[in-house]
Amino acid sequence: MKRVFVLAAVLLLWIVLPLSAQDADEAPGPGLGGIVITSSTAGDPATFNPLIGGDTASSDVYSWLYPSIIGVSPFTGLEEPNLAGAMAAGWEYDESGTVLTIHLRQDIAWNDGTPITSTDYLWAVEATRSGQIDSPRAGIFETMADGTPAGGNIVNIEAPDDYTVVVTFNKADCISFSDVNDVTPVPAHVFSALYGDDFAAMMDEPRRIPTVSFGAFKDVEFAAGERISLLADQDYPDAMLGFVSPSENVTLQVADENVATERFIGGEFSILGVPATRQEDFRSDPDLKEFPRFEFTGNGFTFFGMNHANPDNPQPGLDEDGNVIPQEPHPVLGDVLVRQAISHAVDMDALIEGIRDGNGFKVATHTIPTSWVYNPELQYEYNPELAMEKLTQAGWLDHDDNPDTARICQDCLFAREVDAEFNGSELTLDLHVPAGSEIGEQMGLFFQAEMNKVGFNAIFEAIDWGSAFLPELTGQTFDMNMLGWSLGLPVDPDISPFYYPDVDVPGSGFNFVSYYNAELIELNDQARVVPGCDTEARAELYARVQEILFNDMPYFFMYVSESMTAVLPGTKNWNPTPFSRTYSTDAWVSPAVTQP
Amino acid sequence: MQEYILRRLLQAIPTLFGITIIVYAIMLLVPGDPVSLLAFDPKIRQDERERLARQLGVSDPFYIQYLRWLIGDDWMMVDSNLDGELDAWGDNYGILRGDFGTSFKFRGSNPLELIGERLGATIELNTFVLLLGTSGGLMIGVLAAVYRGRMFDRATRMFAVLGISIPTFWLGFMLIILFGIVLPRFLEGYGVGSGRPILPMGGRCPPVRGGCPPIYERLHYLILPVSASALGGIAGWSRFMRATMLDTINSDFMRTAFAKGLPARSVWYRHGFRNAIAPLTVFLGPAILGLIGGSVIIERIFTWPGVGLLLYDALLSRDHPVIMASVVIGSVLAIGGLILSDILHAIFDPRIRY
Repeated sequence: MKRVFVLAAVLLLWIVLPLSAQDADEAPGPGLGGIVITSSTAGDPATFNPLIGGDTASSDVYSWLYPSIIGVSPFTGLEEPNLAGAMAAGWEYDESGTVLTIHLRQDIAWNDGTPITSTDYLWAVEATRSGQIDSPRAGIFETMADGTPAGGNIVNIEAPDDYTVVVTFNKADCISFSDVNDVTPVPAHVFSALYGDDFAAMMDEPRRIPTVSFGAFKDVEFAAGERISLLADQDYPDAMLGFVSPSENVTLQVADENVATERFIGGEFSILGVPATRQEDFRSDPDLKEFPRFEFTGNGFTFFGMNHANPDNPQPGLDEDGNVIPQEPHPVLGDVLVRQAISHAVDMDALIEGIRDGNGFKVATHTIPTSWVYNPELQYEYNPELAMEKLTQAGWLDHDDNPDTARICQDCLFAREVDAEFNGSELTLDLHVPAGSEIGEQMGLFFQAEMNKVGFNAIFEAIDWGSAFLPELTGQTFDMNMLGWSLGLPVDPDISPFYYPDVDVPGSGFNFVSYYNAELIELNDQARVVPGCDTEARAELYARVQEILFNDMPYFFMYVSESMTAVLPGTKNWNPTPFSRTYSTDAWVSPAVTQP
Repeated sequence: MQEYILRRLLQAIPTLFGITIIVYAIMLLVPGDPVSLLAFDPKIRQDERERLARQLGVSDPFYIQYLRWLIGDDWMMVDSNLDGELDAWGDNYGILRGDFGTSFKFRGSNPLELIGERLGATIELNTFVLLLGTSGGLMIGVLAAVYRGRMFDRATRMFAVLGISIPTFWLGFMLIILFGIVLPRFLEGYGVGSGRPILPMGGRCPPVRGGCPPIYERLHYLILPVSASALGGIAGWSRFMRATMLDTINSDFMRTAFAKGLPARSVWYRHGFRNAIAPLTVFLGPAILGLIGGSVIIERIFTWPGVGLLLYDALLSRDHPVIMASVVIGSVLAIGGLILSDILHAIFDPRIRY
């Protein structure tokens, strides 16, 4: 019996030991994990300098090369201390909520050995605030260095010592915390040697290759229109495995999404954000099922903006003295009952299932399911009968008892409040989507068909983004235009960029629907100054904000994408989360093909 | 001839100015502006967008913008610190003094440099496309004429119809799938190969560090894009060549050559081909200079880093300096191409005199 036991134990060890060894050996060693190859549709980066960059292609590169002051956790999507690639070890506000003290990690250094300190952050702050460089981030400051108003909330940033940064805000404001992260620290000893106080000189060499960096990858090699290559930096102290597994991280420009998908299937890319139209293939096709995939709810939403104001007479939201200008209502959408009728007319479940292959999460407000304020109870009810009832209630009557013909105005809002001659006008609306997206065009056609079933004369058209869609959107001369917002991280439910009257500016403002609700603004203002930015207290206020948005319908909130990311079979150490699919890149072992 | 060329060159100057004025006006008349496209971000405040518009100079009237582009702004006061006050002399010299300005999208970058860094890839691709298109097309055209009415002729006619009709983007995409996925997996099923792509599915160089190797080490990267791009050319040139060759066949000198008892091969290829090719030289000048023009579709499908995609992006993003730089270059090449055509025509056809 004893022999049998010993034999069994040996057998067990024989089975288990190699498995344990295999687990511990998920990456073969520093630089031995292959080459990570990704595709990008963002085009060439404009710069490798984070102080003058603003485009996605540029930030995709320099985010590998420079730390952030405060990290965003890939597991929670929220700012947290002591995260890999970030400087902050902790922070606290004073009692007034206007002074933020950030304590910095003391264990990180640039790859030339120079410690990363508050000086690096302050140099970047000074350059951004100087007004000498084109920085889209200067607006975080209250004033520029010469005293010119800049419109932001940060009054001052200083460093009492090498590992402390103190930020003073004009007023306590929960959304200003993330402004601190808008400025990326750079190696001050390198930048000051190159440029001194002449910050404008950075603009003359936007593609200067960084020689000193902090990140899992370093040493940019750039081929215009083709690729950006970064080499593993084995000096990176925050590497997940203690070393950087891939030898190289390459981004290839691929303008066409379909081509990128096929090249990924062919093994030429390590990872792919699977287009909505191919997700079902990756779930069911026997050849594609073998690709490891991760499905998650995205952090942006798609909507139809509903213009509240008369598109023939776009007006700013505020006059010169800052008073709200009452807007002339949109002839059709100016009435909330009509907007609500549209929400009952369109079967969003059918749209998501039929057009997006089920890859969408229905929403009815500005928050997404992963947000701490998300309210799942707010959902549009698909009920064409109710839609028709609301149209009748709004003074849009079915004059010929034929739901296929457009209703006409009989004492509708516009006729009552603006022009009595509007009586007899048809219930007509233009629905526009940007041309070029097959799914977008199908959704536009679906909306048109659904709305026409309840008595609208909806006219759908897909129009060019740059020359038609954007001008009419920002010019506020549209009826209903479809668009999507990507919310970034961390996601905050603040609504000021979209629904405040100061951003209702024909020609450029983002409240292009000319929506105004005083209660909503009051609630949002309150939510921004909650002591300690307590999320529970803020969530209570935003619950009401969502109810207002749900009822007022500045947008027809449609869906949040159900997204899918896939990697090549054989990839190791890929640990995706809903907030990041690439944070563990430095640990990957990737079998991407580099040479056929 | 020299006088003719000089005259044509002088005529080209007002033509060039005319083109630039018309294109500049159209560019500004088209709805949409670069600031909306560059700063379509709710986080960017209204005054920052206005500041950007002043910086790019796109809020000025048309004639000021055009003059600044043409002759620079060092003769006028500008708002150097963007505070709304005119406070310093401008520092742009305009294209007449060789200053093409800076790209709106790639701030600080010279449009000529942006075009220049992609020109090599475009010339490389288009050279192979032209060589394959003309040599393949001429050869097929001659043979189709020689074997007129026979199976080969009928097959080439069908090939030409297909070649001209098949959309390049579709063909390119099919080639990518065929050589990247379908064939490798099929062969792997029979124990041949590892299932990896037989030919690169895109790009111009290996996707790894070390720059681009010499062209003879990466010819396989050219196979798919050149094949997809040259098909239409082969089809077109073959029909042209067949038609001109058949015209030549019925000429007196051909009958004379046959009557003299010259070998058929010599009559067809020495006498017939040489005379048949002369009319085609009219197209060759623009075709050779067209080597520098990019092909958006092929570059997009095969991720070829040429000027076509750069200019397409510039148009979409209203990058006026890059668009205008390409217009100037394109116009110069077009005019040069036509002059070159005339010269080539005169060389190949002794009856032409200027």
